Amino acid sequence: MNTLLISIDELWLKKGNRPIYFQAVISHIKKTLSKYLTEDVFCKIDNLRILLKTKEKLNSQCMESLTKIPGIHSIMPVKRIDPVYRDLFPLIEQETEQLAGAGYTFKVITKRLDKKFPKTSMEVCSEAGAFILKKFPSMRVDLSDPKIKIHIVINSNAIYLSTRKIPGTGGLPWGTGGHVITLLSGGFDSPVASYLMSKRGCKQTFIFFYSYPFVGEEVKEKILDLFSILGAYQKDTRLYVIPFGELQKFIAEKYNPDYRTMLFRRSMIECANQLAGELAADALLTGDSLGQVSSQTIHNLSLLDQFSARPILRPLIGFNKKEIIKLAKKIDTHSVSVRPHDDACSLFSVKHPILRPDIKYWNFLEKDLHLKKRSKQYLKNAEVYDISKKGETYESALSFD
Amino acid sequence: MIYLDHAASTSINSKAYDVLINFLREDFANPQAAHLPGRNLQKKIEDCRKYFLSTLKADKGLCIFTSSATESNNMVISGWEGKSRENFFYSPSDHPSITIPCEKKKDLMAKKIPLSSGDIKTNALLDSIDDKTRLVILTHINSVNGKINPVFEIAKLIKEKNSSIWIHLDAVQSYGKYPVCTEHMDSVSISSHKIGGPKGIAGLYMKSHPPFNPLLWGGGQEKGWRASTPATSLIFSFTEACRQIFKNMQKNKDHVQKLNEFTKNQLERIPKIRFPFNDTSSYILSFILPGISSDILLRQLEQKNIFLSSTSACSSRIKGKNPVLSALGLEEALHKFVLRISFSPQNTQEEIKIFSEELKKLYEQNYKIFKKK
Repeated sequence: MNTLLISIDELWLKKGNRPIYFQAVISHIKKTLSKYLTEDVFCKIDNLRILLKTKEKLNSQCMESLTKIPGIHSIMPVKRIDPVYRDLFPLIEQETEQLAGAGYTFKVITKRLDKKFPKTSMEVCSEAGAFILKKFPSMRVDLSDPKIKIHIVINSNAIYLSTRKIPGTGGLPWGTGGHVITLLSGGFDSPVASYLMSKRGCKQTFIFFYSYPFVGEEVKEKILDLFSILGAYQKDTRLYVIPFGELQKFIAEKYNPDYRTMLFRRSMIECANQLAGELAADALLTGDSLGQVSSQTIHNLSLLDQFSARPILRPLIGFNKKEIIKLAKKIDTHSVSVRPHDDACSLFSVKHPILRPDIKYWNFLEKDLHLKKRSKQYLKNAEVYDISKKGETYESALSFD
Repeated sequence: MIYLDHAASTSINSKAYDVLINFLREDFANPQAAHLPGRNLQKKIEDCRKYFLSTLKADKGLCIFTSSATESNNMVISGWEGKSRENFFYSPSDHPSITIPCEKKKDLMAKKIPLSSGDIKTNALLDSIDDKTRLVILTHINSVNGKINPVFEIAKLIKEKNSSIWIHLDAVQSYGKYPVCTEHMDSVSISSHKIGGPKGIAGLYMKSHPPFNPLLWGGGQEKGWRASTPATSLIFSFTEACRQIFKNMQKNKDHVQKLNEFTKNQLERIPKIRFPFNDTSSYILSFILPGISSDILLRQLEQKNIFLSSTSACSSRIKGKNPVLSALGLEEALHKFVLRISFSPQNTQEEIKIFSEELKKLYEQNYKIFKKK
């Protein structure tokens, strides 16, 4: 039997809604593990933690996928005994023996959740520590940066022991943050933005605007790889690939070139809003960072917001590029984003893109482009991708219709 | 579909196809077997070998069958066991199946054939060749720009200087299209799928016992030069494709030459077009449309069911310097604008008209859009 003790993040904020948050995490855990295990797992709430039991072994891939579930603060693989204090010490000896080495440092951390337990946390730490030193004289205590941490959790119905505490993604459980449509590109920013909002519990449906024939297939392959990485933080997700090249050509041929990039952005926002309407999503999500490129001036962003039926979330608005890149490396999207590809925006870009649009001309463009009608058509022609149980992306049999 | 990428690969000749299917179904024995079906197959293979020698007008030597011209070229280069301070020559404008194994070669010193704007500097080459030179690799027709190199004259001069130098000729783009003379050549690589035969089969002619080793050792097939059960149906199909192409070689060349000229005429209606290469095969036409990445044009033509090639499979962003184009004398800034058409005798003027009109329209549309203000 394998047992995990899972701590939930930000619980102190959610007193009234705790049952909802626990259930959301449990549901996500079960769906995630169903990709790897053949039997159902047992989950129950045990003193503000989730106790998970499974007969099957949880390999490193399983464990890694659990750490990506938003809302999970940490995961401890544990050994369980009944709450009989003297039985703790043979267990400590058994677990420590596997890790002990000459000169290794250790620390005991005790969480006493049962306040009626006859020993205090300090007493447990002290007695367990002394026991370890007696059994393994070559080891020593280090309270600041030990090599081994022995975690003891004391409940009313059990004592748990663990030598490994794995940090989770944290934040809020999937779905509790609403549903957003994420505008995904092959760059560094939008994948990082997606990750940040996954942590805040947002269910995400991804949308990518494919500029074929102005860009090649390698761009789409990048997006599918990014979708696969970002989908690991989602319980359920989908990617819509919208054919965009024709509209870009039309805009580039017909209108003032200085407005091209803004018009592309506007068209994307409109199409994403249409998709949000169909899927009952609450907001859009982009990787905008203030001032990074010409379309991200405050005036341009403000204009795009005015014409969006839904709020546009921009978690990177205050991030510097270096900070974004650092996060991209942390979540493993960097190695995909860095792959060279044709960038349609820079292909169509002009020397002096508009930084502060003329409202009269903009209003004319709004009327002339008939974006609502166009967006409906583009969504109809979208390729739709899901993620299989094995984590591979595949084109869904479903169409937008 | 309008297909204009025959230098990459071309459709199988219908007679070659019939032969392929027939032999796949019927002649399934192993030519190495001692029994009658096996022996009959081996005899047929030997007949094919003789036929290939005749197409090369070679009165001696051996033609073996390989899986590809890449394998044939690799056998000559990688199979060569060099001694200390010996050297060999190749051109940086050659096909990667030559340049890559040459760059990796450690036991022979690789030297580059001196070029000037893609032309072999014959005198400089002859001056560079010394008594330690063992091998010179020449390409008859360059696959990227169709340049016809004066390989037969150069080979003659090399042999006059030192007859012991082994000269290997890559005749992949010329075999079946232009005359290939083996008089001063010691080995020649040829390919099936460039001339209407199936993929997966090619040939290597060797005039005498070569100083390189086989790549594959084992059962002693192909006279000990390539262990592996011969792909009999592919060999026979390749042979039939050769028969068809050699039967019509002059007629095909005349047709393709006219087509090439017609194409140039049509394309010259695009004002900015450039044809930077001279002395090229009629079968290949490379040109430049400056300012618009060739990849974009290729994809747009693809949407119209028209297929040709550029010189790079990379995206326009990562398409930087193409070493072959540099070796052919083209400045780096133009590399991403190069397009290549290659013809087959089956292409028609009507197809060329449709293609060139479409290309002109697309280029002009793109130029207007992407011309920066």
